[in-house]
Amino acid sequence: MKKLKLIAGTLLLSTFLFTACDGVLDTTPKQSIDADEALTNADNVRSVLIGAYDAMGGSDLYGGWFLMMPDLLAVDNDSPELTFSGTFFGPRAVYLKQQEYDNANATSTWIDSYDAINIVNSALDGLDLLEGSERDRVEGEAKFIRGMIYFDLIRLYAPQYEAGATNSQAGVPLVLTRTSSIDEESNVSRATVEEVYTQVLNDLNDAKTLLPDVNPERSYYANSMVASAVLSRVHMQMGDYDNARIEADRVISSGNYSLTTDYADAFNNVEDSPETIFAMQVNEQDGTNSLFTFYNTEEDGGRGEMDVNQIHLNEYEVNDERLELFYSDPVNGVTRSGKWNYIYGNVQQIRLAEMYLTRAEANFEEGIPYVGADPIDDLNEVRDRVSLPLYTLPTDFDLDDILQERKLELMFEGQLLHDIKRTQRNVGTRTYDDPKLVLPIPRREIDSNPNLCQNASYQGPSC
Amino acid sequence: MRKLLQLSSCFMFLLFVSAGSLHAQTVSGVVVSAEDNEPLPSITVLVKGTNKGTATNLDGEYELDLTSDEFENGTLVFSGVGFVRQEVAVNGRRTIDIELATDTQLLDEVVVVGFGSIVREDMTGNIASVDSEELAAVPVNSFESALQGKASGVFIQKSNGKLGQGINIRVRGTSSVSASSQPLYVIDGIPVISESQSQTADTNPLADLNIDDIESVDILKDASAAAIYGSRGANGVILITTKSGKAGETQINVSYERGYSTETNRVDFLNADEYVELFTEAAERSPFGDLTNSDAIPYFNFFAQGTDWQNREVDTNWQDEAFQDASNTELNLSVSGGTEKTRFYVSGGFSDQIGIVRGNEFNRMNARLNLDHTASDKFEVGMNLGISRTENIRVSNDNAFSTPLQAVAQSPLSPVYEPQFENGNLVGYSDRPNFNTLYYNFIRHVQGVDNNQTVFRNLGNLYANYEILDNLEFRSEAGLDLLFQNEDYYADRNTNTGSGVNGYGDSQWVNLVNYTLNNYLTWNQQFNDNHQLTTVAGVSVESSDRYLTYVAGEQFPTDSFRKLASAASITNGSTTETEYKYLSYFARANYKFSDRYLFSGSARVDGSSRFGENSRYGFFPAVSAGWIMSQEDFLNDVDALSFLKLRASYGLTGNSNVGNFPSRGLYGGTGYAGSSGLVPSQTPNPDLKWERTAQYNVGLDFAFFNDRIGGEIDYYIKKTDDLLLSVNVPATTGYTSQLRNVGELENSGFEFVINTQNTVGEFRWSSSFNIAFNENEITNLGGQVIEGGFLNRAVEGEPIAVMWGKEYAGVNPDNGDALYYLHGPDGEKDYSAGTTNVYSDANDVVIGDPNPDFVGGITNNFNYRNFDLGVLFQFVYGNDIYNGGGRYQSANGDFFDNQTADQLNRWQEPGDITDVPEARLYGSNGSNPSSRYISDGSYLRLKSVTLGYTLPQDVLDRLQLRDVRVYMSGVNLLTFTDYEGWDPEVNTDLYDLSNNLNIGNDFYSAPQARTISFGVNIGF
Repeated sequence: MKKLKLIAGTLLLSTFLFTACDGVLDTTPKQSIDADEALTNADNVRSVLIGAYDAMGGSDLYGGWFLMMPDLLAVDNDSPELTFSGTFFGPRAVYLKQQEYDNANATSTWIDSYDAINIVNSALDGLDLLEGSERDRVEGEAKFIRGMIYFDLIRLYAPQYEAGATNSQAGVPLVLTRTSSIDEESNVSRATVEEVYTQVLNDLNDAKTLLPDVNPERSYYANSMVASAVLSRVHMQMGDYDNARIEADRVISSGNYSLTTDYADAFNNVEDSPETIFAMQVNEQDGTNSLFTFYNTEEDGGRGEMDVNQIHLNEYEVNDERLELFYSDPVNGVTRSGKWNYIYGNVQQIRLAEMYLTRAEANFEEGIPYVGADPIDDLNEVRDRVSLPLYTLPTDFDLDDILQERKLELMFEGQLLHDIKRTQRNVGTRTYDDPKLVLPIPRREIDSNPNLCQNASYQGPSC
Repeated sequence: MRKLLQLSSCFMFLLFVSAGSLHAQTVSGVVVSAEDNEPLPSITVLVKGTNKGTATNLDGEYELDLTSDEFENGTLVFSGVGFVRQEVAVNGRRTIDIELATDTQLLDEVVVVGFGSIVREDMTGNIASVDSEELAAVPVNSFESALQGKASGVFIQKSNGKLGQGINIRVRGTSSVSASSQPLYVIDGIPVISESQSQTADTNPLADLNIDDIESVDILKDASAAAIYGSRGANGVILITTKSGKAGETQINVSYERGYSTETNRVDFLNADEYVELFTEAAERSPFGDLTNSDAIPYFNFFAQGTDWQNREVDTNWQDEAFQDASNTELNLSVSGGTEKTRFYVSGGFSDQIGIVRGNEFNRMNARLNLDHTASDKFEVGMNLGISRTENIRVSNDNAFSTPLQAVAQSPLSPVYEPQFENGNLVGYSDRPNFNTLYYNFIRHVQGVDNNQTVFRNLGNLYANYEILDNLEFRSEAGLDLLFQNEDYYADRNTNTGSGVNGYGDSQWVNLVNYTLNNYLTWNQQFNDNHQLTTVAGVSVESSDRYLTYVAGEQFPTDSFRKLASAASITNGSTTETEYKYLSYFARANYKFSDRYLFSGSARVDGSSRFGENSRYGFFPAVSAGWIMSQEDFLNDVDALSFLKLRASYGLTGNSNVGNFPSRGLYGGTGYAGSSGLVPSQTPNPDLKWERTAQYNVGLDFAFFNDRIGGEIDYYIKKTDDLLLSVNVPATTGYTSQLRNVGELENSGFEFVINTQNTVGEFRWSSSFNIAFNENEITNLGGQVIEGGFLNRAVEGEPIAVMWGKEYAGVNPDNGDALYYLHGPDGEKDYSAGTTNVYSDANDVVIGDPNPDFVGGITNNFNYRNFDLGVLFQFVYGNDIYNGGGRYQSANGDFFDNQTADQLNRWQEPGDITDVPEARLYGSNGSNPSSRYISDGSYLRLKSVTLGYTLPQDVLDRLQLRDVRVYMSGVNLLTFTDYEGWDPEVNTDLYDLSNNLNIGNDFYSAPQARTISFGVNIGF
C-alpha cells in the first residue's frame, strides 16, 4: 500500500514537475522589432528615412552642437565677443581651445553623426523595395542627409580644405554601407580630405538631381533647392566660387524663398519662415533645440551660458536692427542673443540671407560676368532689411565688408569659424590652420579602432 | 531564538535515534537556562561519541538509558540552538541537572539555504547569517544598512544620506564588469525585485520591507551555497526569512521609536570675508585680467542683490539651508501565536522619516500576515503576505543645481531669500527665494516642486507541503511580487523646469509583476547509524513583466493645478513593456557519514529568455566536503577544543543581469515632426551566453573552551570568465558598444570571524569580530577600454573601476602653476619623466582604487542585570574616493563657486610652498580632473550604540506585562576618517549603481545621517 502510494505520488509529481517546456522562454521585445524584419517592406524603408531626420536633429548634431561647437571655437579668448560661462567642461574646454581627445562633446557629436549615417545607409540599403519617384525621393533625401553630415564632420574634425592643392590630409572615415555585423572590417581608417569632399559633392549632387524643387511629402524635408543651398556652402568651403554662386543663384532665383520683413521674424519659428531653406523641426513632442538651452536666460528655462560681450555689440553700425534682437538677461544683466529664444522653435540650418551673401562674395571673388546679381545689390538686400544705409557705388565696400556683413548677419548660427577658415583669417592670434581649431578624433574611437590616426596636437597615433 | 528551537526539533528525529541497551542504566535531569532558570525544551542530550541521545520535553526534563560502560565512563553532551554546548561526565550519577548558558556562536543554528535549511554544524559552504535580534540592534530603515559590519565578506554602501536611496552591496567583491554585481534577493523562497525602478537616481525597492518582520538573513557567499541559484548566484544570494507564528499563548508586541538626526559631517566653506578676499585676488590674477570681462566688482554686486557686501551685510552659510533637523517615528505592532495546527504572525507598522537634506521625506505603512496550517500529519499549507505602501518625497539628483547640497556652490554674499529694503536699508527678507543667485537657488525647488515616488508592494507566497512517505516530502511554492510605483512630479512657475512653460508635470507608472513557481521533492534517509542523506530536486519557473506608462504635460492654469488633467499641452506620453523568463531544474544532495564526514553536491540547469538561441541553457554544478575533525578520536583528548571543521567547496555560478534582449539585432521606433520613424538600435550576437564564475573556497570552523571562543576562517578564489562585456566598438559602425562574452576577472580573499564570550554569569560580555579582505583583478579584457563614473576604468591587470587620469604633482613654488606628473605612455608610472604645467602633456596613469582592501566590524554586547549595551564599530579600509565636485569646490577660485576653506592656502607669491595653486578666475589652474581630487575613503565608524533596560520580572508581573524594554540608541555617532569630503560612505546617485564602474565617486552627495533614538518595546 505504501509503495503504491509512493509510485502514484511520484508519477503525479513528475508530471507536475517536468511538464514545463522550453516554450516558457520565448519572449519578444515590445518596443523593437528584429533587424531581419526591419528592411522588408517599403513602409519600413520610408520610416528609416524619418529615423534619419530624427537622428540628424539630435542635440549633438543639428539640434545644437554642430552649430555651437564652431561658434565656441571661433571665439578669440583674448578679446571675446562671446563668453561661455557654463559649468559643462566639454564646451568650456572647446571655448578655451583646451579641448583634449576625450572631450565629451567632440565625442558625442562624432558618435551621433555616424549613428545618423548608419541609419541613412540602412535606408539606402532598402531602396530596392521602392519604385519610381518614391525611390528617387528616399534616395535623394538620404544622400542629402549623409552629404550634409559628412560636410560638417570634415569641417570640424579635419584640417581645412586647401583650394588648388591635393588634399591628402586625413579626413574622416567614410562609411557608405549599413553595418550588419561588427568585425575587423569595421575598423575603417580615415579617408583623405579630398575623398570626403568628393563624397559630399556626390551625395549632394545626387540629392539635387533626384529631388524635386519642392518636397511632395513634407515642406520641411529636403528638396533640390536645399541640396543646392548646402552645395553652395561646400563650394565656398572648397574655394570654388564659381560653383558656389551658381548654386546660391539657383536657390535665390527659384523664388521659393523670401526674406522676412523683420530680421527677428527669421528666428524662433514654430513653422518655417519664408526665409528658411532648411530647419530641423522641433515641437513639444519631439526634436531638440539645444541652442535654446545654452543661449536662453535661466528665467525662461535655459541655462543662460552664452554671454554676449560689449566687444561684439561694438561691431554693429548704429541703427542696425539686428542689435534689437539682443536682450539683457533678467537674471544677471548679461547680454544674450535672441536668436534661440523659443524652446520649441525649429533649429534653422540655412536661410535665404546666406544665399545672398554667398552670391555676393562669390561674384565679388570670381568677378564678371556676375551670376544672378551684382554683389552690391545682394549686399543691399541684406542691409536694407535691417535699416542700414545702402551701398551706392561698387567702391563703397570691399571683401572685408562682405565678410563683416556675413559675420553679423549669420552670427551665432554656426558659420563664423568655417568662414574664417576658408578665407584663411585668424581667430585672435590663432591662424586658420591652428590645430586647436580642429576637433580631436575622440579617444574612444582611437581606443577601439586601431586603424585611426589622430589630428595634430592631440593624443593618439599621428597621421 | 525560541523559533529556532522549534525548527531544530524537526531535525531531532533524524539526528538522534535512540539505540536501546539491555543493560540500561537510566540517567535523568532537568535542563534550565542559566540566564533565567526557565526550563529549556528541545535540548539535545547525547552520549558523546555515539548517536544515542534524546531531547528535553517542555518542562526541560530528559531521561536517557545508558549502557553500564557509558554510565561509568561516558560523557553527556547537552546542546541546543542558542546555547553553549556543555559536556558533563556521567560518573555514575543518576541525576544530572544542567544550566545552559546562552550562546552567541550558534553552531547548531539552523541556516536557511536555497530550497531547504541546514544545521550550521553540517554546513560545507560559506553562509553569513544575521538574526532578527542583531538587526533590531541597529535602528536604521533598511535591513541592508543593519547588516553593515555584521556579515563578513559583505561590503555594504549607501549612496548618500537621502532617504530610500540605492544601496551598493558586494558579496566577495565585484565579479563582473558590465553586468550588475548586486546580489540576488530571495524572500521566503521567492526571488524578489531588488533593482531600482526609478526614472531618476536609484532607489531601493527593498526599503519596502519592514525590518521588524525579518526573522533572519542568510547570505550565501561561496559557490556550493549559491550554485543552487545557478545563473544568478555569482554575486551571492541574500535569503530573507520572515517571522512566523508558533503554537502557544498569543504574544503581542508593540514597539515605538522616535529618533533625531543630523548630518554626520559638514565641510568648511569660505565665509563672506574670505570669499571676497579670494575672488578679488583670483580676478586680478586671472588670464582675463581685462576687467571689462571678468571684473569681480559687478559680480559681487550681483550676488549681493542690493545688500551691502562691502560691509558683509549678508554672510550666508548655505549648508545651514541645505540641511535640516531630521526626525523619525516608527511604530510597529505584531501579534503571533496559534495552536499546534494553525500558527500565525500578524504585524503592522508605520514609519515616518524626515531626512537631513531639505525637502526629503520617506514614510511607509506595512502589514504582514504569515499563516501556517498543519492540515494533517502529512499535509501543511501556509501563506506569507506582506503589503506595503512607501512614499518617498525626493530631492533632485546630485548633479542637479536644485539638489540641496549644490547650494554650497552659491556665493556667501547672496541672500537666500529676496531682500527687502526701506529707504535703501535692508529691513528683512521676503518668503520668496532669491532668484538672482550664481546658480539656480534650490529653495525654488523646495517650494515649487512635488517629487513623490509612491510604491505599492505586495509580496506574497503560498506553499503546500506534503509528506509522501516518512522521509519523502513534496513542496510547492508559488510566489508573487507585485510592485506598482508612481513617480509624480510637478514643477511650478517659480522653478527652472516650470517657468518657461507655465508649470511642468509628469507621471511615470511602473507596473511590475514577478511570479515564481517552485516545485521540489525532499528526501531524507538515514541508512543505519552512520549514513545520512538529504536530497532535494525540483523545477522552478520565473517570469517577470514590467509595464511602464509615462505622461508629461505643460501649461497649467495656475500652480494650484498640479495634476496632468489640467495641463493644456501634453508633451510626452509613452507605454513600454518588457519581460524575461527563467526555467530551471535543480538538485542537491547532502551526505553525512559518521557524524563527521560531510559531502554535498548540487546542480542547476538554467534556461533564460535573455540569451541567444545558441546558448539558452547553462549548467551550474557545485561540490563540497566537510570534515568535523573534533569528532575524531585523535582530537577527543584536546579538551580546549570543542569544535573543529574543515571544509572545501568548488562550484560554478552565473550572472545574467543584463538587459532583456541583448542577443538580438533590433530596430526601435522614433519620430520626427509627428511622423514615425524606425532606427537600428542593436547589432545581433546570437552566441551571447551567461557570464560564469568558478569559485573555490576552503574554510575552517572552530570553537574552543566549550564554545566560549568560536569562529570561521575562509579563503576563496572567484574566477569569472566569459564576462558579459559591453565592448566598445568603433562608433563609425553606427553603434558604440556590443555585449559580448569577453574577458576574465578574479576575486580572491580571506575572511575571518571570531566570536567570544568574554564573561558569563551575571555580567555577560560577548564580542564578535569579522574582517574580510578581497582583492580584485581584471585578468583579461581582450584589449577593451571600458569607462564609467568620472575617472573609473576597467584596466587589464588592475582592480575593477580604478581611477585613471593625470597625477597631480602640486604647485610650482616659483609661479603658482598647478603641476602634473608627465609619466610614461600606456599607463606606465615614471616619476623620472618630471612634471608639467600643461595638463594635456601629462600621461594618464592609475591614480586611485575605489575597492577597499578590507572591511569588517566589531560588536560588543554587555549584559548586566536588566541592562544591556551593544556597541558596533564598522570599518572600511583602503579605498579611494574621487570628488567630482572638487573641480568646482576646491579649484582655487576657478569659477565663482564658493570654495572649501582649504583653498585659502593658495599660492600667492614666489617661494610659497602649498598644494593649492594660484587663484585664477576662469583660469583652469589645477582644476582639471586629476588625483588632486582623490582622497582616502577609509573609515572607522561607531555604527551603533544601544543601551537598553528591561523591566524586572516583579514589576512586569505587577503591570501584567510579559516584557518591557526601553532603550536609547545612536547610529553613526562617530566617524574616524581622513576623507576630505562630507562622508566617506558615498557613491553619488548621479551614476547608475547597476554599472560596476560607477564606484567611489562623490558629487555634492548628501552625507549619511547621525541619529539618536529612543524607543520602547512592550510585550503583552
